[in-house]
Amino acid sequence: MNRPRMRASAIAAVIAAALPVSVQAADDTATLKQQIDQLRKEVSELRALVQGPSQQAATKEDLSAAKAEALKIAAENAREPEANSTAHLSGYGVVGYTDRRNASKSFSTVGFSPIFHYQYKDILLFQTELEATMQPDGSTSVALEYANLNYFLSDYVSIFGGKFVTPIGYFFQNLYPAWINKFPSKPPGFGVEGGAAPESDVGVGVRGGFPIGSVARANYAVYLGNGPRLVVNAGGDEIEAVEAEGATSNAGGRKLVGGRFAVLPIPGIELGVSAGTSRLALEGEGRRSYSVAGFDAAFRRGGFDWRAEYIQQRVGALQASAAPEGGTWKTWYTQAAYRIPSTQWEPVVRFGDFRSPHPDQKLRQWGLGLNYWLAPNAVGKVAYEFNKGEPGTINDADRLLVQFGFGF
Amino acid sequence: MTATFPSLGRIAVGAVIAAAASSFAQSADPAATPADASAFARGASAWSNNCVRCHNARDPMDFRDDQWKLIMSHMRIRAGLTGQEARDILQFLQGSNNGSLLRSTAGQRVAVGTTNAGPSGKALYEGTCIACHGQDGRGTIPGVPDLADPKGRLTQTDSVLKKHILDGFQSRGSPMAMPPKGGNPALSEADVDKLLRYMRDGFKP
Repeated sequence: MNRPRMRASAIAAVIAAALPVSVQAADDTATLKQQIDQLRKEVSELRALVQGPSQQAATKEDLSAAKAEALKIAAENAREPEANSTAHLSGYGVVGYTDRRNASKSFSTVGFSPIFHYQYKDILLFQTELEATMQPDGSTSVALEYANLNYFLSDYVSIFGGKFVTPIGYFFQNLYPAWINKFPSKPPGFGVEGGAAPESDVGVGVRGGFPIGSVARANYAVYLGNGPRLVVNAGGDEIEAVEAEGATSNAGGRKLVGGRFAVLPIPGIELGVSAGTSRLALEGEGRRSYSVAGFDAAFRRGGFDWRAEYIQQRVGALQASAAPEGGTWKTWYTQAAYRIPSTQWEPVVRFGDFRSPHPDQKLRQWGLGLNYWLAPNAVGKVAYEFNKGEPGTINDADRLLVQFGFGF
Repeated sequence: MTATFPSLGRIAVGAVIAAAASSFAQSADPAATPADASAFARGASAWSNNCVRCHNARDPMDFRDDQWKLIMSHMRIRAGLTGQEARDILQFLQGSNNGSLLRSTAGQRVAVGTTNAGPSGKALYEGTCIACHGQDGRGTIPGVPDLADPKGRLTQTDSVLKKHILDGFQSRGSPMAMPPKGGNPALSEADVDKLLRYMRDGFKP
């Protein structure tokens, strides 16, 4: 290596060694400048704060608006994120006291009915209700009121399957929970056994609603189910009743085809018709005809609520049967309630008339009641039933009923 | 009767297929768009028309958003509602159950509150108040005060009524409290002024 080249290399090495120092110095200067700018900005803001009263009022408004905005954002952020699968527990409970003339006087009703819902996205809904009730002997009975899966096919059609509250008629489908029923008891003929109205069934169906023009609406339900079972008397020679609860057995082997169609011509009025047909059988016997038909109407305006319902079940005769005679179980009721303005009080009156092939089941009833609504979902009821049945039967005794029902 | 069952079955199945087919066709209706701006007003109307068919209308504050979603699916089945009605009611309930949000904006005195621009008193009433108070002001559900009563609420001063509307109010005997701003967080102070004028003019006895 010659001398000039060695000198050039030495100079280059010195410059290279000095360069980082120069860059470092430049960085420090930039940072210092930024800090000075920031301080200038803050001083400027402080100066603005200590200036005249008009500026101060504007700042308060800004703060108020900013606070409201912050609360709004916080409230929106506090909402739970939506998940595909969601579940919910609701239900209702009831306690009651009965004073039957010339008979028992006791706290006669304790019930708890949890309802469980599970939903997947907006397409599937599973719902089930259990009914746990205290029995007179101190035991507790638990019944599966319904358990069904619903698939929302479209805005107007849902497909369902499982055990469901029958859409035939209106009371059992929508009014039976104690916090909804405006009377402490069910109308005559709407019992679990021996009544005129089916309560539940097991099967599949479709249901939904649709608009008719801009005001009127309609809703419908059509289903295939196992249908009801027949109950014979102790001697086995008479059809005693039509079991209202659905079951997984079907002695007749034929499905019940039934449903309800209702129109709401204007808000506050609903008119519905129900019908169903099948063939039933006692175990080991041939089939006999069965049909059910009903009509229901409701009118509501402000605090006034009126409704009426007629329903009947007809079982055909079968000469070859051990219980050859058929029969018709039919009932109707009408009920009016009025919520007194600016109070929690609601008087209610109901009339019902249940007819059966068996005289001891007949019941004609007037009922007067007074409700006190503690909340939209909690009601205390007191009512008196004037009952007219076959003399000597339990149906012929008047009753005082006190009940508290609540939904959650 | 044996011969009638298969016929009925076929009719039922046919009806189901026809209903399903028509419903698919109708699902394309633009009115079914969930983001419809008037869904809140439609939901309020559907809520007041449908819930009381069977039971008292529940206070939107009774449940959270996720709970209302499941409850509305259940009620869609029970009450025979359309999917659009169920979504509208859900939007109303979810928009009316956030008390802290509604209250947080209740005391706001923003600039827009001093102008006369925006919707009319009639439009505001029909979009926010009509569900509970009704077209004629006499109330659609039990417990709601009669605004047309000559000795009723409208005898109170503007400042009292304005405070009740902005902050919410529990009427004696009513099953639920009126939420702040009637459940409509977009309601401004100027809107409330217009509402009061509309109600005082429209519900004169």
